[in-house]
Amino acid sequence: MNLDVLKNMLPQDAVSTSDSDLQAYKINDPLATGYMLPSAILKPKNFEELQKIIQTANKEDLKLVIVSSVAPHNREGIGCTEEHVVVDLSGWKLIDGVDRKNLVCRVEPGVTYDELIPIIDKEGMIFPMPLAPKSGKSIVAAILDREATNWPNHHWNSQDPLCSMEFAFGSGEQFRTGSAANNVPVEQLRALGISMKGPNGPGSLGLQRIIQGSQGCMGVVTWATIKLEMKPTISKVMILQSDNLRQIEQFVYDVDHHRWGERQYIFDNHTLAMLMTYKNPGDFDKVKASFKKYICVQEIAGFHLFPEERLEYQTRDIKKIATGVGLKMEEEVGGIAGSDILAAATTPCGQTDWRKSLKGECMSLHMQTTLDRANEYIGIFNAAASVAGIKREEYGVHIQPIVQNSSVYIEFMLPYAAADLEKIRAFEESATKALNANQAFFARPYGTSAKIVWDNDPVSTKLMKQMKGLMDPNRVLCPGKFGL
Amino acid sequence: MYNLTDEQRKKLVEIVGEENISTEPWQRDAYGIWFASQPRPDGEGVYWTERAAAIITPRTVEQVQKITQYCNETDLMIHVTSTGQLVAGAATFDHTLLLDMSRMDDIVSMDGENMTVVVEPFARSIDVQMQSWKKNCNPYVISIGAVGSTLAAATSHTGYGSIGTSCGYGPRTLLGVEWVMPDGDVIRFGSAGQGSGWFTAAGPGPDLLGSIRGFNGAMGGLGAYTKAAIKMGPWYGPSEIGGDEIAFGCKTPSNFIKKGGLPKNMSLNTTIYPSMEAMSDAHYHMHEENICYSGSRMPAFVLAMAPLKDNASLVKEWESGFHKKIYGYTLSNQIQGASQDEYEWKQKCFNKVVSDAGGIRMRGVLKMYPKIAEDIMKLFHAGLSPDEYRTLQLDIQARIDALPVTPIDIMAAGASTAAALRNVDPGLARPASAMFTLGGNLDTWDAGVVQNKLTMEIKEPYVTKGGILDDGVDTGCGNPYEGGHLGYTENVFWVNRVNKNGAETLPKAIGDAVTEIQKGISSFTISSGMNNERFGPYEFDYQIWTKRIKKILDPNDACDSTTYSGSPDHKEVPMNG
Repeated sequence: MNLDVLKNMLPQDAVSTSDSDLQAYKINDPLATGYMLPSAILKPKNFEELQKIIQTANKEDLKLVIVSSVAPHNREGIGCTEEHVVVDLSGWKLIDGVDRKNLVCRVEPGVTYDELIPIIDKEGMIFPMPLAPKSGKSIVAAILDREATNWPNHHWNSQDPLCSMEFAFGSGEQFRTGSAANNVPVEQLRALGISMKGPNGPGSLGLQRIIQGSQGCMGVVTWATIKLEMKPTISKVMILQSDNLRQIEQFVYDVDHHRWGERQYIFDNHTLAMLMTYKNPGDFDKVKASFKKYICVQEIAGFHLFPEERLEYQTRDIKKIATGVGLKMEEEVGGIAGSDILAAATTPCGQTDWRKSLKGECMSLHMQTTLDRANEYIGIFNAAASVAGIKREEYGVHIQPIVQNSSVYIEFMLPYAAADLEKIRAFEESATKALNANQAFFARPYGTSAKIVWDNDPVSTKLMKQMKGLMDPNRVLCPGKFGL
Repeated sequence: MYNLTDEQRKKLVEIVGEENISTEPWQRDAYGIWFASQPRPDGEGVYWTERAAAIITPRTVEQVQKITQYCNETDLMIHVTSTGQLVAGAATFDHTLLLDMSRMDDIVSMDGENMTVVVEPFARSIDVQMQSWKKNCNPYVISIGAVGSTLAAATSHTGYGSIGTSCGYGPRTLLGVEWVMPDGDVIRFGSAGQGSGWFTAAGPGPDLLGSIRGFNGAMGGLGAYTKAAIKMGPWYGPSEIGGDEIAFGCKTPSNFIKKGGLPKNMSLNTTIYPSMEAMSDAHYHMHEENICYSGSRMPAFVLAMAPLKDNASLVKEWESGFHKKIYGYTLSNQIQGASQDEYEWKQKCFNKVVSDAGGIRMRGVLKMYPKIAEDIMKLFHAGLSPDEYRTLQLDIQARIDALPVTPIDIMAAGASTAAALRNVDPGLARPASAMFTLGGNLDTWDAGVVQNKLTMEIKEPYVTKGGILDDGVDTGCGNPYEGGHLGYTENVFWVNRVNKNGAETLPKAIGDAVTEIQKGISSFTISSGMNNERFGPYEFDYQIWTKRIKKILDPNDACDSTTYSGSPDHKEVPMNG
């Protein structure tokens, strides 16, 4: 790979080929194999430098992988099987346009949860979070990966919380989507009164949807406006638990149908214990034993208008639902308060993924279905685990209602020791295939699912290839991703 | 005029049967539309759409697929219409087979727990609503009325409606689409394509819905959508139509206004404000806490028009100035509670928001209470000090709240609730029979207010010259969406049809809309294919990218795509900029 042309184009400190720097981009998941380390790291400072890099890559047949989070990189999103250069945007830290009235702000790709949360908190806003993201995780990257967030009633569409955005095509051409899709500068749009919150367009184009979920192979996002929410002024976090998932399921259906309650999670006791003890894994067994098999964590809140009364009537009405399905609402179980669980779930967990705390590594397998079918897929996973000699008490499950509970995201988490790698590798493949054979939907394909889902639906795969041809005709961005 | 050859006709008969092909010229002309059509370059009005080669009414996806495949082998093209109201549903070339989807009208499935429905193209919102209420769900309904296609509103065009704050915005309620692509392949996006069920269009990996749906859809010009999965909102009202105590629950207007009051967990609130700022302030506060089930801003002219039977009465009423002075800034909001406790909390919050914003909650027919009307005029126009304003505001509100509930109140609440739920058209097209609209960008409410202001600047000179009816200029109609996160307004107007002046005005006004784009507004309602070339250069050349998609997906020009990708020169567009 001829890197001289890039070195000559960028300032000296924007290019690195040192081995120690390159090693930081290794995927920190032993199950992810076959990926190459980058040949160089480029750190452009602005859109113009980025555009030059992309245009040069097109001319010189270089391949680019875009990275926005800080190492360690736990997922295969940045994995590339071809010789490539990393373009690292983690230093792009702009947060602006923080707008309480319209509940929106703009972030660049390098902005992390740790950086955003205190800024919007001051303005009385919060952000629907994925489950305890690692510190250093790029918000833009998480949104583009459609990571499940925790506020189903406010999750109107799978695109949320992404509003408008700016990106570069694989050819380097600049584009903006939504109500930012106007040639005038951002400052001028704001002066006119445009918050750039509109999620669709321009015209009949929905290119932001093509980029979302593409793991970096359709375009390079350089900023996004994101939807924020009002912060409750008063809240309670209730715990409901049962050994029968069906009871939890009915409770969640009834509460979410009324659009009651705020942030909400469903865990099994294994996952909950992993989350609550990642700083003290020695407490894992004790915490796990404190809970029944399945737990729903339900926030109830008031905001600015008669907040106490809102909290009171919602608590009363939600309790009626709980009682109706045979569940009890508790603010604390086994010395763990619901508010502690919510705090752990919404706080970045530090450099190391909390899932790895128990045994050093964790297999994560995720899929999407409707809540009424969650139990069926847990059964399929259980059966596959049993065949592989893995006991039910060794793994956990997180069920996250999304898009107003029209579907749920399910993550199976199997902590394991490095010595068991080959066994777990075989299990990941067999479990994924078993789920796939039963029409599990892998919205965010990683691992084995990223290899097998494309044959399930050849027409969609063909269209995806056509869209790749449109957006990145020379296969400059993350080549090989999804077989493209 | 293009007529099918014997061979073409024979082939199509084989696919759909003789009875499902119409080729008589009068039948073909019945599908012609001018609304939102292309302005003529000479400024002499707008083009009427082309006479299609034939009207075909398929029943199955297989038939649609075979017709599409046949168009790939011949010079015929398809264009699709469901309940078609705008030019998007009409042919733009004479060798087009217009697919009228009226026989594909099934509600394929409805899932009350997951709040989703799968529909065919001609399942209308009213059809869906009649079934979904039984499952405590409600589909989004656009302002064309509940007779509009639920599928088309979500997949193919824009469309606004008053229940968007609780039921979502149509295109963003899409959870899946079955699409007969221009090359004849049949695709189902997302989970349906993987055989997993109709619950999301996004994934695996990219959300391919983005290839056909942006601010606008493909407007019938990129193949046929034969199924759509839609996410519904909650419904807290009665499950059956026609209950005695339900004011709006009947099939005919004359019945619903005669029946009893609204259910106890519902109210319909009309509120008025002294200014756009005060109205917007109330709007933000009531929606950010999800107090309202529906919301809309109706301009004074429309409010004057709605209850009157004829244009002469409207002229008299409008020229009295009463509506302009009282109803210049009016919101109509429905409140529903999932429980009685919730309803009461919401109503209390609503009342506070209105009061804090300096507004008045109205009831009944104000003209029956001239003293109150007189005091409201004083409140809004007499330049009172803040203290004087507050004192008079509270006094007026107390007097209104003390008024007895009359049959007219019940009738008005029932009629307005029905209108909100089903977007019953209050006779918008009646004056001059030539309504048109500008604006309608989906962003925040603030952005809608900005765009309305810009549209008023365009419109005012044409009103002065008489090309557009004098409707007070500020006819911005708007709604909140998704709990107030999004909002929009569009400015409706009425072209003068008495003389040539009006015919000349319409294309000029549409042309002037480009100034809004130049200032910073992005796509809005008329940003369809025929305006792409005009607007696209100010919006990152989206017209070029649209043509690139057309070129990739429809290499044989099997679809009549003017309403999607504009002028048919897409083959000349380079693929790599």
